[in-house]
Amino acid sequence: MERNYPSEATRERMLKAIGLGILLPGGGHLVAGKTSWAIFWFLLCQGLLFGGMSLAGFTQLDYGRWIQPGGIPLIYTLLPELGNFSGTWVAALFFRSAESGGFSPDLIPFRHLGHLMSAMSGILAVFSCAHAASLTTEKAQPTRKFKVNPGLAALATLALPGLGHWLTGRKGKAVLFFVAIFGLFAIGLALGDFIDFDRQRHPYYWIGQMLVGLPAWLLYLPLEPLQADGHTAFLDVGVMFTTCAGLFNIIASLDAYHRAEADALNEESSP
Amino acid sequence: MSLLTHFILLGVFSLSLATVVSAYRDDDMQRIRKGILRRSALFFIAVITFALVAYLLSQTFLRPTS
Repeated sequence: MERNYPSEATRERMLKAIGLGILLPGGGHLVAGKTSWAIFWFLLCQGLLFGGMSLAGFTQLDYGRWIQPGGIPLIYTLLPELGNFSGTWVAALFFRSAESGGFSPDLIPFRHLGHLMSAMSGILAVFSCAHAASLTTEKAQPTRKFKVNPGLAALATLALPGLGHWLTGRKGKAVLFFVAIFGLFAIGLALGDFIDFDRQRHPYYWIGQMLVGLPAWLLYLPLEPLQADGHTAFLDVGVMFTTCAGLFNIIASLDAYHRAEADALNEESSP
Repeated sequence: MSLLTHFILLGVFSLSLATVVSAYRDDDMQRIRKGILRRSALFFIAVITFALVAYLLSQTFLRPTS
């Protein structure tokens, strides 16, 4: 099959949109000339980040470190919040974790909701770049008609693994992705006695687990109160399965974006 | 954890990995189906081979001597 790609000039604009979108959620949409989308993504991502951090007493900052060459605070390595680069940078520069003041984070009532919201902010900020990139393509080549906007296809995959493919008419692939990703995540949770999805116990794995998207986000709060009841034989396997499920969902999102884009490009090049 | 449990868990993971990789590589359902079988078998056998080599080394050259 002949593979089509956007033109060189369009790809440069897409790169600019993605770069700006990473620095500031919504920034990429300004490149595409979509001001209302830019305002929407900016408010959503910063609202989730600062709302979440306030609810959690900024205890998210306990999981990150500054990279400061020559003493200049450059990057605060807090994942997945770092997807919202500017917000995380401002939060780390101007706020302190309640825990660093001697306050026990266990006493913060909505701490877990706060962590969930700030993580969502980082992940959604990255996906907003995909949306901005596809809008930039549309602006650069107005004759191109997407059956489904590629950025929305990627976002749909984040809402439910396989949904992006379903929207582009690839129902078989949608079912396969859903079963492989959500199935692996569900089996992983069961193997870990449902206690393996916890930022405090497994902070690095939690980053991957959050990438499963909406299903994981909805399950996070109900599962959080569960405590280990004796020995959990398959905890390691559970943690590995659930984390890989999240990483697999990124592959599914990339594929959803690419297929939605390829549909329009192939249609355009066909006689 | 019995050996059978290990095999089942490896099988589940191999199948899931192969599904995602095959669906990413191809867009045609028939090719995807064939790819799932081939890749899951390949991954399953590769991991078991590594495990066997590690086990044999642990029982021979790497066995601690008293």
